[in-house]
Amino acid sequence: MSSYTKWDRAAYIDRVGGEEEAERRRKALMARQSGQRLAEERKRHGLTQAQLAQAMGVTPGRVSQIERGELATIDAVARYVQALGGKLDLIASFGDHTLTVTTTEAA
Amino acid sequence: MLVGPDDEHDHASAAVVTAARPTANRSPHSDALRGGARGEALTLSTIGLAIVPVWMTGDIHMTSKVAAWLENLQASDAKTADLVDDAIYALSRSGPHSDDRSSTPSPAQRSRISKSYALAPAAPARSASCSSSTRGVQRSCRSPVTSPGSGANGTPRPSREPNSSMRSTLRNGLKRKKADEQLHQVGPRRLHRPGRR
Repeated sequence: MSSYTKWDRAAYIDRVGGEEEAERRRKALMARQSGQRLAEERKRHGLTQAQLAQAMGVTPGRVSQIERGELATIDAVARYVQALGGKLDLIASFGDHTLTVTTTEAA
Repeated sequence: MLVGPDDEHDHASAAVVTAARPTANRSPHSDALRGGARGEALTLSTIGLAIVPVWMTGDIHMTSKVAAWLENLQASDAKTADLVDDAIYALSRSGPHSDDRSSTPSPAQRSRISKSYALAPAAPARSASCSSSTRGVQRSCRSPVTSPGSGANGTPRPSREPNSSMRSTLRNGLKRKKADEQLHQVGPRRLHRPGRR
């Protein structure tokens, strides 16, 4: 249908400086989105960043970093989730199927 | 890059139409384009985007209106346009599920009404269940609407009742409305029949 235009992926990759950079930007965007969702969950629990930081045993700055997607390591996210009373499971994707991997508590 | 020749482009366009118009044998992609199993009203096609599945990735097709908007944005605000492009690239790589992956509502949350209550903010300082002596301790500052264990399999279950701050807001709103109505009623009476009140 002529009313549709294909988004020019090649031009985008050229503009950002290659496939690797495009991937890096994608991961950063996804991490930021996850961080925002964690922040929404924290607010839903009625907690401030400072209160959550106290429960996690870290500084409020660390909580802020997690919520901005700048710190998205499994350990950091697991501690964040546990402080909210949740439990972190990992989903391993293999294209045709996925596995849910249970994690142990962060030290 | 992935869909080059014109005949392939036509094929891709046909896929867009298939995705936009439900058929009996619909693919998971077309389900997702219409909002998935939850049947949400907002679909990608309503915002002028469609994903065409092509081996491990998806081509994004935009309506001419969206394409023109993006082109204008690139000229006027390149930084924002780059962000939009980043998001489109992420969408093309992760597919229509990219926005869904980290939020799976429990069955009890699927009701729009209960969901709206569950999302109501509950400040800890005003929360009845969070005293100053216990604040900061794990699980001590839980909002009553997300108390654990009451849902299926012990999952959190949102309350169908508004919390105290919401009740107070609703009460104040009703009071204000009533006062406004009385004011409107009193005004004309005083003007036309000053001796009656």
